[in-house]
Amino acid sequence: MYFYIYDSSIEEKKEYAHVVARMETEINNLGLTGERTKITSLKKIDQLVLEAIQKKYEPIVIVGRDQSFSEAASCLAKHGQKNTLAFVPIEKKSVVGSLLGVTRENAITILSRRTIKKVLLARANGHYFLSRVSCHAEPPKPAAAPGFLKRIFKKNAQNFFVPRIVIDDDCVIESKINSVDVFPGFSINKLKIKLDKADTQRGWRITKKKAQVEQSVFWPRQALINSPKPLPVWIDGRQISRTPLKVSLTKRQINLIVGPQRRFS
Amino acid sequence: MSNEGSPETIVGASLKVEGVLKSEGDLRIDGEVKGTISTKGTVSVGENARIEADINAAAAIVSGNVKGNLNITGKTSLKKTASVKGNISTQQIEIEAGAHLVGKCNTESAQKNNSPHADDQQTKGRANQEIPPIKIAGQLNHKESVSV
Repeated sequence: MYFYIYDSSIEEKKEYAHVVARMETEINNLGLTGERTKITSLKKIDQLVLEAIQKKYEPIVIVGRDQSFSEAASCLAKHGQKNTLAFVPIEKKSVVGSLLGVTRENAITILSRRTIKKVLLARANGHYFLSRVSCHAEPPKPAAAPGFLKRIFKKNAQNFFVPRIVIDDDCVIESKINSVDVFPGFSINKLKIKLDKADTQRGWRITKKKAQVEQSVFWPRQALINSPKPLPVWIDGRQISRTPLKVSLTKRQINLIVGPQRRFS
Repeated sequence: MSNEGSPETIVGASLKVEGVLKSEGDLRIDGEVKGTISTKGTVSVGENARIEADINAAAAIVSGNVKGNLNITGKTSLKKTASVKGNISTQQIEIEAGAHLVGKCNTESAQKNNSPHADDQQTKGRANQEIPPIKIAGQLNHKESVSV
């Protein structure tokens, strides 16, 4: 029996309410009915997922934002449960949705097809993640100048940092960069680490050249990222940690319902 | 999101890497590497790259600066801006005019099949023995150091 967990963000916009109403009509038409519950200030998503596990509901369907889905996946992985997880994104541009090949238009159709894939999870500072972990330099303080001068002479100050990145305990990278992003590479059982460094943009508004971004890419199984001072780390869109950041692939798997347009095989 | 087509490792122009750089796919280096480079694919060394490492790969295309030995199981190409200080062990080598090579160059027994003296000679041909010419543009000094 299906277990639907609705995000509290559904009430934020009227657009979301329309999406959910359309989705519920489709659920009824396809006969995918089940129990429905909502995340509230008293009932967090962890508790709801554990409730679904205890009642042996299958699959658990998260209706809402990427963050709620990531939290649910993390909870399932922590408890080593094999319940299948499905996602119905309500946002138009959903990073997790595009990873799974699910949009808010086709989510229920994909749910009815029940194409299930086992996915190895990656871990960052004790938190499981599905889509991305990022860390970037803190934005610089604005230069002291009168307002009209700031508008004319727009200089992008350099927001670099120099992390120490140890890859697979084999090699060390220490260079000036703007940001570090880590993605799980599901098909090849490796992590993808992307380092970006953009040139400073200089010049007047008209003659300003587009920043050239220099990218470096590595494919390790684990990495340790340290910085001179602790920097915020975003895990699946939530800022829940700081450097030093340890990322690794784990042996924990979860079952996900995916679409044909997913970004892994 | 990750593009999982072919896992190419890229070392950007301003990056400095120290240690053992391992890869399962192709490796493109435009920055600085010290230590050892090891891959099952092709190593491409950019024009502005600075490498102080031994390279073990299936193929190599060198356009930059390399100080170290190259152990390549397939083909090695030294482009005109390449500068290699070290020994090269490879199956096939191609050196463009303008490339610098200071070291020994050993090509493998693939040469033996084309050589008219195959029965008489050692199969591991050296540049200073009479073996069919390998593709080089320029002159060869038949001594240990070879510069073109």
